[in-house]
Amino acid sequence: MIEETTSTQHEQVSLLLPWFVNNTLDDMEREIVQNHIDECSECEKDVALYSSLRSAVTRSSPTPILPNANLTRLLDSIDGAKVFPSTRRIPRFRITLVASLTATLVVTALTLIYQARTQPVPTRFQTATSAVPVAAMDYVLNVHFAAGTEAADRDKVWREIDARSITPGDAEGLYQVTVKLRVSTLEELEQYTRDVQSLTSVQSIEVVAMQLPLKPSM
Amino acid sequence: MQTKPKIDVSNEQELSLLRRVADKDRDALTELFHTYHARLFKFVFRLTHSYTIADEMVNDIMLLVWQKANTFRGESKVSTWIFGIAYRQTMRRVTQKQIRIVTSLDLDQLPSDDGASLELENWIRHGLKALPAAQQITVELVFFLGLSYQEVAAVCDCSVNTVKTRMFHARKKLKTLLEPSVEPTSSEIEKFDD
Ligand SMILES: [Zn+2]
Repeated sequence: MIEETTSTQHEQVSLLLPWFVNNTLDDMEREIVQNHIDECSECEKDVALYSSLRSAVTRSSPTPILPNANLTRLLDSIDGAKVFPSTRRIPRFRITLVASLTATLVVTALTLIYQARTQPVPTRFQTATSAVPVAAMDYVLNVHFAAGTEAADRDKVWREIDARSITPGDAEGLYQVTVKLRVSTLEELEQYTRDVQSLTSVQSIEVVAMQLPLKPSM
Repeated sequence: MQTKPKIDVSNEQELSLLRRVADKDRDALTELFHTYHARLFKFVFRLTHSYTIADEMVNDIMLLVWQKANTFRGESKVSTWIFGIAYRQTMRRVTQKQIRIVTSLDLDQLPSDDGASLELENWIRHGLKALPAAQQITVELVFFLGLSYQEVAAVCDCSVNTVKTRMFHARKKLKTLLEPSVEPTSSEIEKFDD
């Protein structure tokens, strides 16, 4: 009988564990869970797993640089509201390079603090796969190809910049890719964008987001 | 006593804005748009990792807020109702194969000399990609937005039990990846991906 109660409690508690970890249970639920995990090693392990999951989720993504809130477009949509959502084409948004670069500078400064070693000057398109120990970060780029660019030419660009996570291009030839870069100054990032821009078929490139550096274990 | 959820900043204020939106007040919509733009953008971007899609969907979601504000019955918080629209729009596009849920990028190259916990997180990220869209989004709602299970149920318009079960299955799948050994081999990851 006692065993049965314990096993029912285990089942109930195990379903609540994600919210124990994200701290949204009410006081009574929280107490029940806490008392249970003090005595149940399985649930204790699951709490650890959910905690890692939470860390993975909160640290796994590039931090987006927000585009400007486009109120005019929203109001236009309202006026032409007969158009069903998502069937309209939207103009590519502009994110100023200045914003990207400022954010990059902050990120880079943090990285440099974390990495207590001297960084060699990066070569053209150098990425994390280079043999040099680097403080590399993920950067998300919007790459816009000239009209009529062949797949083979795009592939050539992807190889050249070592692109990963390539999203399918839209009708206007806009692709979003992630690259690993090691840049320590704004000038280096500007130089990088100029270098990519100079590649055959590339019409324009924007840096839209970057992965924040991860905290090293102390 | 319920812990105060993170996104409930000032429901009363938002409620009065939404009522004005229901009366087709554009200034109220403008205010609501500015209040929610960043949160919605970050949320959709988290799920898709696409600027284009996130930018477009925020517009679509706010358009639906304008069109459906008069159907809001006040049974949930305004934020829950708006994120519910965001959730359904996302799922609709997933079902129609217009978008793919990509909650984590390919981060296998992250520095691995930062200790075992980082290593573990890398495996988890890998595992997340293999979860069904609904489970991935639930994980995001719980750990990225920090919603309670009641709020997740309201956003997803499903029962609390469904929400709990989704998280349970997500954990079970991730455990399958992690349990064979502390550091699964790449072949084990491939098997998990199938
Ligand atoms: Zn237990």
